[in-house]
Amino acid sequence: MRIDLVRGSLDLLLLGVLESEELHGYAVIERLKTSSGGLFDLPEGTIYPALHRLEAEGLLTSSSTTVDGRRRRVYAITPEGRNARRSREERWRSFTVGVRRVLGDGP
Amino acid sequence: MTAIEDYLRDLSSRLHPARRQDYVHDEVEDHLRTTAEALVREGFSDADAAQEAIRRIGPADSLARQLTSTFPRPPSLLGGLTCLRTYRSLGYLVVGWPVAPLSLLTLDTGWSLLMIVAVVPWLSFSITHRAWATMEGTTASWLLDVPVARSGATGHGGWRRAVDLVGGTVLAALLLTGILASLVLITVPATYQRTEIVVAWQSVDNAVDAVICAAVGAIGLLGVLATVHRTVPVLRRLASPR
Repeated sequence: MRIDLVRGSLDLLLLGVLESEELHGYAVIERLKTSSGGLFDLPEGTIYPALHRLEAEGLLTSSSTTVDGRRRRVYAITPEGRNARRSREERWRSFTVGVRRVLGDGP
Repeated sequence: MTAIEDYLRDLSSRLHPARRQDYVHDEVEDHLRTTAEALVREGFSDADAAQEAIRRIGPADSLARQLTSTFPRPPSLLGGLTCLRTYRSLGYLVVGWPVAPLSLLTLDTGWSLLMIVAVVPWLSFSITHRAWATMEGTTASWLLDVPVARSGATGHGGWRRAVDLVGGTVLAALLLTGILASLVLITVPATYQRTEIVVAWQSVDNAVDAVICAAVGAIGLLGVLATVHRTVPVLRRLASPR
């Protein structure tokens, strides 16, 4: 899927992926890919800036662990992130309903 | 996997500041090596796996540019400076009442001059906001070790420019009035005339000051809240073990 189509929803997707468990960047990318059935095979370089931005906004928090001698940064959603995910999901659902109506595909 | 090391070196050289270089370096290294290991398990050679991992994450300059744009920004010094101005104006109000009329006018003129330098647009573009941007940038890179805003640091939105314009005009009028009043005080010989002029001037001046101080105080309070709101996460992040 084209990145420009996903970009507007990338934050929501990342918050959604991290809602249930803490993951490091590589695992986030893999989870996005597998849970979307391969649809969201996004350029990997776009994910880390988005994760950093969400962390800077206080929607995610990260901690460093050591795995196989390598430092690994693991991301977790914050309570503010959960609230943001809910509100963004509502907005996204309204948006898709609008798009479907315009395209003559909705209720 | 020399290719990965070269990539990481290139990426780090494009990132500023040093603390963020480590932060990014470790994460991207973990990503690249994890990707490469997965590719090796799929049948890639070590060298091909490293190249493919690098291709997937994209060019170092592009990644560095995107990552740098997400680095936490320092709390603006504007809030702090606004607070300082608030304290100064409040202090002026407290101290100004009991002091002698001429001293009061001198204080007022000096204070108005400072305020004009601080807010008037044609000066702020050339002097104060450049100075503030430099201070903010220097503090950011030196003290907080976070990136410097290289563009837009001196820029003003439309409403702020309008506030600057109105504020600058009002304060310029105050300054001119203060200077004129000082000249009148010096040239008018009769004591009773002086007293009447001073009283008249003070009543207008204090009313204007009260309005200005209330507005500046409200902005200052917002500045304090914004500064605290933005500083706490930055400090917490800096203090947290990596």
